[in-house]
Formats: sequence, C-alpha cells, structure tokens
Amino acid sequence: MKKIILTAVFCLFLVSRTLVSAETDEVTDNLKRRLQESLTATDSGSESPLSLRGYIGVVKDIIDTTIILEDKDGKKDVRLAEDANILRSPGNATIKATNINIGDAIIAIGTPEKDDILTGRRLIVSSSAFAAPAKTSSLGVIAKITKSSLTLTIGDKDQIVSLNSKTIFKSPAGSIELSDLAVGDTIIYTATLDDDTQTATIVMRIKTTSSDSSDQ
Amino acid sequence: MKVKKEISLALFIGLLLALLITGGVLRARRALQNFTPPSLSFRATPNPTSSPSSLYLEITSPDNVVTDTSKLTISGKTIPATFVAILGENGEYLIVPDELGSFSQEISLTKGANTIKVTVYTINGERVEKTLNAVYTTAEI
Repeated sequence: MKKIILTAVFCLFLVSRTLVSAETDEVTDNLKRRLQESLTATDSGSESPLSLRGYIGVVKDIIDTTIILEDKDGKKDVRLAEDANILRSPGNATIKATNINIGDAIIAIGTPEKDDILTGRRLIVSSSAFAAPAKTSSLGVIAKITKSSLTLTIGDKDQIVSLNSKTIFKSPAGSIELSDLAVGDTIIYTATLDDDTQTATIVMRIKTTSSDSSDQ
Repeated sequence: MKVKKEISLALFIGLLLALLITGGVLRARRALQNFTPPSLSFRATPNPTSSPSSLYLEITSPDNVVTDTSKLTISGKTIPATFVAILGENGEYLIVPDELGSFSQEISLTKGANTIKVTVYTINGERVEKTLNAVYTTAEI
C-alpha cells in the first residue's frame, strides 16, 4: 500500500512539473516576443508615440540649442536633439534653429528628460498662433424660444444662441426636439463662436420646468 | 506478479489524480478569464448640507500626448449628477458621468496642435474647467 501511495505521489509530481513547465515556457515566449517587438521599434529609428510628448506654446527665448517656450502651464525648456527636424508652417519648409524667432508659435515634439526638459526631435514653428478652437460651452435658463434662436439667462445676463439645422437637441435620456424645450428649462450647450455670435452645436436639457425636476 | 500489479494500479491512480487536477486547473483558469467582477453600485443619500465647493474635475488621460491616430479618448472623474462638456478642435461633446462620477469620451483630432477644453457643470451652474493639449502627427519621429 505504501508503494502505491509513493508511486501515485511521484506520478502527480511529474505531471505537475510538466504543467508548470508549460506555463513557464508560455511566459518566457511572451517576454521574448515583447522584447523582439521593442527592439524592432528601436531599430527602425522611430520613437513609440507613447514615449513622446508634445508641447504647444509660444517661443519666449532661445539660448544656444535650448528653446524656452510658454504653454498653458507655464515655461518649458526644449533642448534640440542633434538630428532635430525643424519646420516652418505653413509650407513645412525645413529651417535651422537660428531661424526660429521669439514670439513664434511652436509645437515641440520629443522625449521628456529629467527636470521637465524635453529633447526636441521635431519642431514646427509658425509666425501665426496655433489658435485654440473658437468654441464655448455654458449653462443657462431658457428665457425665449424661436425657430432660429434661444435666449438664455446666464447668471444675470441674457445671451442669444443661434440655432441651425445641424444643432443637436438632447437630454441625458436621449434625443429630443426643439419643440420639447420650454421657457424656464435649464440647458447646457456647446457653440461655435463667430465674433460675438454663438451658434449652438449641441443643446442638452438638464432640468424641465414642467416637472421642475432634473432630467437625469 | 503482485508488485507489477501494484505498480500498474499506482500508475493508474496517479494518472487519474493528475487528470482530475489538470482538469480542475484548466476549468478554473477558463472561469477566471470569463469572470467579470460584479459592478458595485450604490445610491448615495443626498446630503443637504454638502458643500457645492466639493465640485472637482480630474482628467486621467495624459496631457501633451503625441498620437499617430486621429482618435483620442478623454477620461476623467468628477462628482456624480454633473454634466461634462468637451470642446475639441474637431467636434463638441456633452456627456453625463456615471453614478460614480467617471466619464470617458472618444474625440476626433485634427492634424497638428489640438487644444481640448473639458468643463464640468453642476445643475446649479457651478463649473470647473481644465485644458489638455494633444499633438496628432503621422510623421516618423
């Protein structure tokens, strides 16, 4: 009986080892494959987009091969890589670092290094700003409704928002129509800006007067 | 003869046990692969004394990202029962976070510089705003 138990345990041990070994081989193969992929990416001379960062700002200063730009968060240093590709937009003509001007709008793409410094590998500069989209969003209470506009009370001011055939009307529950809106409803909207004219792209009703309750 | 019989029996039992254990392990692995943890949902009791200043906006998507595809997912967290407006270069989005305040929206990018403005609103008109930058390029860098 003792022999039977010992042999059974031995067989079990052998089978378990085979199983574990198969799993280890699988993990090793996966690691090898990933390493190979990583090496292939490096060999091709291009950076994975994941390891890159892009700063969008304005050139504030140029000291040797370091460009100091200011973006939405403040000043950033971009140290030019030896093989940095610098382009001037529009036209994308290749230029030298000496042709970058203080005040130029800049997109600096590169790899982040220590102390928040970017090694710039591709820089695009332009004498005109890379403008942020002329768009806005706001929350207001409907004071007046026409077929082509909504007059909203936003804080203590009135704002007219134009509507067009592309304006989308919705509530948190789904699509609605302009005819579903009523004076006193609370809405959030997104709009494009053209001078002082706001044209709504999406209108979401979030509170109705009829039930005086949230649409959520 | 008796020893031979015992060895055969032992081998048979061992193999049977191994087969059972292997089957169990495989079943467990398959079950774990298909296992999705139950979603936790709870309804918070409205607190009339809660301060409106607790409104916040946390963007979990990376800032200053460089991408070689025209789509980017903007994810974040805020308080529940709010509304999120996302203004991109190539489109606008109005979404409602889930009951835990999490939100996620895939947006379209234009080539080059993209400024993405994310604003969260409460029903009372309070708002918090954050801006993200992204660069979409297909150039080899």
